[in-house]
Amino acid sequence: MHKNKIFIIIFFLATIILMAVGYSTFATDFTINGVAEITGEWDVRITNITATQVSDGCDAGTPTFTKDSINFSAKLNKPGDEIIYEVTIENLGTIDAELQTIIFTEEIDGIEEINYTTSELKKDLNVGDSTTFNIIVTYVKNTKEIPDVKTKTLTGIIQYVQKENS
Amino acid sequence: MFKRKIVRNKQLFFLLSIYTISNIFFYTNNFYINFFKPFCWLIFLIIFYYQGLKLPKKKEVNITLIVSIIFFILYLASGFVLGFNENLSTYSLINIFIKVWKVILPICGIEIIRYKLLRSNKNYFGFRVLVTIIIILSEINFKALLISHNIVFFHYLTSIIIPIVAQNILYTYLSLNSLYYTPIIIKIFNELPRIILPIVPYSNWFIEGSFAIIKVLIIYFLFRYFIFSKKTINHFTNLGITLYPLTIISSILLVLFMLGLFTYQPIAILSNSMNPTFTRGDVVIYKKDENIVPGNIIVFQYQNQIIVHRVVSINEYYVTKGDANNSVDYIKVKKEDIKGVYQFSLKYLGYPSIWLNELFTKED
Repeated sequence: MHKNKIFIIIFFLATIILMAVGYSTFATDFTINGVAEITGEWDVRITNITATQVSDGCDAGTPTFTKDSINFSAKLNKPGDEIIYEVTIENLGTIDAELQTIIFTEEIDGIEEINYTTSELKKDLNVGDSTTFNIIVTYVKNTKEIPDVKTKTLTGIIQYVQKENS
Repeated sequence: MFKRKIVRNKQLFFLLSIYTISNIFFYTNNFYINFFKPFCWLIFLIIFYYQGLKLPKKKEVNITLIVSIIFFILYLASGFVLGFNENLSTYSLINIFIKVWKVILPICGIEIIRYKLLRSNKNYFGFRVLVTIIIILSEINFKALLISHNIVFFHYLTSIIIPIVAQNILYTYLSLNSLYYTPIIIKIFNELPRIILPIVPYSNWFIEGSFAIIKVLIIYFLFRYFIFSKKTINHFTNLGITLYPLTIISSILLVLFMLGLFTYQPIAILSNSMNPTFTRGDVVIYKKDENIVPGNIIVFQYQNQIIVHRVVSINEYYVTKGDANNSVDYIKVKKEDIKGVYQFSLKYLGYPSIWLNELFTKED
């Protein structure tokens, strides 16, 4: 009888501990499954870059890319020249994505004669979707002098994140 | 004429069984709950009264009342820590009367039956168990057991069913050693806040379940060692009287700790997003702290979830990132979402949480 009582008391104490564990469990559900987790399910990447328009006498070079960077070298000949690079981004993962950040910064002390413009990016990039955006490099038309420094770099950050409701 | 046994023990057992079966089938039927059940109990209580009921010992009633009032006050006081909610039942005199009719009459009836049946076969352990099980079955809402969601079922099992089992074992123990008045008083005081108070302390399944069990353990301890014990207890040599309060106090502290009523609070880690700082299966202890700087690991609420990630920058919002993730979180963490700052982690202690989580979310 005494043993029964002890067993019953231990059972109820164990229940309290189980409830405490349960309380901790169901209040703690992580939400990392789309925050560029390293599981590989997240896979938004650059899949292509091509020069779609090149003014006469200009050289678009051979643009290269990795999954998260692009590299191009545009050679412009005269004022008014223009090269357009088209960059493709695809969502090859299993999580819908949306654009969070897009920042392009031209070289701070760069010459004014070279101008970069970028087209808008598609905001939503669901699983399997792809989107393209253009980087337009222009030799400014009304330039009167040929500058001593002839290059200007462009740095950009494009960040897609998990779509909030996915 | 009325003093002779109108309802005998076999009939009482039959009555109890019928009552339990009716409850199983008509637990949520309005006519049954509001009219038929209380009316039947009223008739039986009148019969019991004329049949003659034993008067309680004054000491036991007084002590039961004192204990119940203390619990009632503690329950009210908990609202100052946990906050108050409006009592969902419309608060009016007529409703108080309806609740007394619906709740108190069945309580009195069932406890008198329990007492009479247990006393009739006092030395037969199996019969005690059987009576207790039948009464437990009468108090369970079986329709609620058909809940499809595993987590809700877990809540129902731990916060309703197991406390009902614990309470009924206690009431059986009290009935065997005292009179039916003791469990009746305790049961009525359990129901009293919902009947008479316009506001009740905030509660959730964990608070309700754990404190219901702790209350049972405390009442058992008080009656076992201070009221029913005929021997003079040597407080320093009796192991039970030393260990038992320590166990109860530890349980209370555990519940309060889990509820976050201390400066430090635990949380189980279910993912590896903060690897190697801490990993899946660890328990993180965090502290309520308002001075957060980049580099701190914070615990924050996002929708229904709690996330533990590192702050990488602070602007309008807190920008966070898991150490093992290769980009920042998309979540805009506001100051009011932050629950605390990581202090240290304990290896492997979170695995029971993981197992439970896997068990109950498998079908989701």
